[in-house]
Amino acid sequence: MAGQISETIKKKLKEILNDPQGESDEYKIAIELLEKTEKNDKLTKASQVKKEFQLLADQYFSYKENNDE
Amino acid sequence: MSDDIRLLSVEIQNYRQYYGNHKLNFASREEGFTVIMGKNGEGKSNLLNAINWCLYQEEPHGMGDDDNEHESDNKSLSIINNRYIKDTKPETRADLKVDIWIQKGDTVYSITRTMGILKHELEEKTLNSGKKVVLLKDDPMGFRIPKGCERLEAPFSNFVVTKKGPHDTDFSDTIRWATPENQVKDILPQSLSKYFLLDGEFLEAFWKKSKNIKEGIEQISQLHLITGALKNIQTHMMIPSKGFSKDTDDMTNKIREFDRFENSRDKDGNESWTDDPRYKNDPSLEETYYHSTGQPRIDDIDEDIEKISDKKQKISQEIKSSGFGAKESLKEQYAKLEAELEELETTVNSTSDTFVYNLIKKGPQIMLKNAIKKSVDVIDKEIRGGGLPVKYKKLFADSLLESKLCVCHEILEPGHERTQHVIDFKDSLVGKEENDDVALLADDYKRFFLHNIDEFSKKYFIDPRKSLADATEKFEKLDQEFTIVKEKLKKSGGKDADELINEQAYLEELSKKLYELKLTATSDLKTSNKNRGEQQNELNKALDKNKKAAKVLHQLKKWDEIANTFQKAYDELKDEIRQGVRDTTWKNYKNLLANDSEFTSFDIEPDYTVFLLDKDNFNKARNLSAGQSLLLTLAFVAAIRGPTGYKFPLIVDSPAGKVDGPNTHNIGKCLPDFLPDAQLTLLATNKEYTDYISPDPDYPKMPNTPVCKLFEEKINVQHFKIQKDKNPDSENVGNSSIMLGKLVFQDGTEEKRGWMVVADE
Repeated sequence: MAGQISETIKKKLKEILNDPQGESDEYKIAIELLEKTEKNDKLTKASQVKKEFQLLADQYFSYKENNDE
Repeated sequence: MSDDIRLLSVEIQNYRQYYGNHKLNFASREEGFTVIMGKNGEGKSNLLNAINWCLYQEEPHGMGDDDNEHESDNKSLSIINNRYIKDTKPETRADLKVDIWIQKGDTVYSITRTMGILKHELEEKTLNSGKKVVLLKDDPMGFRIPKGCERLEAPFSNFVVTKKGPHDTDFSDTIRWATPENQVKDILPQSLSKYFLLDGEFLEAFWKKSKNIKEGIEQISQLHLITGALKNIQTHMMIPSKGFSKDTDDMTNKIREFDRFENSRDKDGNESWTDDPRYKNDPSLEETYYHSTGQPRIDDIDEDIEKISDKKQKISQEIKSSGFGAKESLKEQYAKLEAELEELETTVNSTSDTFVYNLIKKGPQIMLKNAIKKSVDVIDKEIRGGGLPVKYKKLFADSLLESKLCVCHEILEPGHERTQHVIDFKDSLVGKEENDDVALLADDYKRFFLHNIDEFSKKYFIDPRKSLADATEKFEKLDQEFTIVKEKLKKSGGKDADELINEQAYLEELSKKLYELKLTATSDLKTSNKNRGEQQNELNKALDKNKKAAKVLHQLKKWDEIANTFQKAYDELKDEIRQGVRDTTWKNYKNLLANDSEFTSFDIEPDYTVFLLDKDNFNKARNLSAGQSLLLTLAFVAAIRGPTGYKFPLIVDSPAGKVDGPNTHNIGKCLPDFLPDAQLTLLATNKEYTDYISPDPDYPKMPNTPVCKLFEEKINVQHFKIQKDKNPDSENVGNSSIMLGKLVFQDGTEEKRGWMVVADE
């Protein structure tokens, strides 16, 4: 499904995240979330959506014990 | 959807008029437009249906009126070609098939739908004329097939999508990655088909549904993905799992309750309904009910308001064209006033909303004027006494350190006590920047309120009140006029007129009731969402204090950041795209309209309500004639391509079927300009494409150049000709073929003289 999100949206996200190259984790996860949303439909179970989103969260912003944030 | 999508070809086999195999290769955008010429009934609309049937298993065009079955409607004809099914031997299989090749980016997709039919003995009946016709029945999918045939299941009936990438040597099945339906959804989703598979004969109702505008903008530009992802984050990811403390568990429960309210769900997650039956314009339909709460309830109400409005317009048209004994002018006056009143009612409602909103939001400011003034004076005094905004204090300290000169004109030497004082002063300012907000707020109050009380009152109270009073006065005046016309019509039109007018009045009341219900539902939802937000903040604060919840809180904060990013992206993109589409649609429409002073302005509001104002400031968006609606739709469809960035192919059936000569001329002149990068296919009759444009006394200077020659000035056109079989025994609309065509000038007698598309044999 990669490459399905419109250039207009990608450009806007890069602009908001101040990431012209689209290299940040924030940009990457935003695009993946949109792609997951496009793939799913109204019949997709909430538990599946939650699981897919959680996997992305663990991948992109996993928590470390001494996390500064 | 970032890749351009291009239709390569369509191959039709034994589908409706098309006996045998017929293939059509579409011209690419670089090659120009594709124009397919054919007479009425020869199969133009069924070519569009073949594409729809192949992609979505639907045939939306030429299905006729539900109440009247005409011989020329598809529902009185078999989906499988009559000649072919007659030729097929009993107890053998007959296939109809449509295969579409589409290119998306570098990949070519072949989408094939096949319907296998087993023929037994056909059932026929003899008409009075002695002619025999095959009787029809519905197959399990609702398509008409001959009686005495049965539709076969898979593998004889099937839907297959194969694809070939730039490095593949052959096509391969795609079922490993997704179902064929999902593959098609990725390439040309059905929800958007109304924007690229257009039937000019049926665009009259396009502007009556604001949903068409919202979906056109939000779905084509994929804004719905942002709101969908945002909703998923808010519903599933921003509510932590329970088990940290009783307090946080209670808060989580409350948040889930707010979410159930928003989505009209009960505790078990099932949809929740009221006992209140919904409006139905057809008594034979099953009873349905309104959702209990939240957005689903608002959507139900909106849908019913639109249905009622459509029904009211139908009744107005019925009164206008009815045979009952009232004068024609009276009937016309009734229909006109009814439409104007409906528009005016919308204006009264919106001006009233604005006025009330301002009273609630800005009224307290007027009442607290003295208190605000005192507060501003205190802040002013502070600033005058040296309490500069923090950012200026910082600048001041920086400039002293940079110039190495103190305010007392002593040198600021490094390490000196005096210098350290300045550095300490600068450091003491860190974290106090928010004090500047107070100064800014005071400044705003001074400039926009205290120093301009008259302007403030005019903007928020006097002008809106005047607009409301004007609209109400206009409405009441028109309503009185309408009552008189109504009474006259009742008297002269007898029982039939009485019934129609009473139904109108009933619908009017129902519509008012629904507006009130919508207002309550919207207000309840806003309150619920506000409370949810507060609860979420409380929960986050509580989790912040709980060490066990550190990981959860870390992710909650991240989700909150992403949600904010999505919200910002949605808000900004929606405004940019909506305004872009609005401006281009209006520009296109003015170019298309022969009489460009007929309308004075066009707007698409943030809630996607459309305003197309005429000279008297009546909004005509929902009361356009068939021709006006078609032109506005063409203008809109051309406009949504740019700002949304979605480059889809466009097929338009009967592009000028409902418009008069001058507007047909404008279509010919403007389409190549409006769609500079679109792959456009037109299905047209000779009247729309090759005939000289009929003169119009209102536009004596309008040239009569046919559309084909207007196109030729700007773009290449690849022609096809649908040719009907000359066999007199052919069933009804005959057996048609699609042939490559060419544009020629026939220099015959005066009647036959002119341009035409002929088969290029």
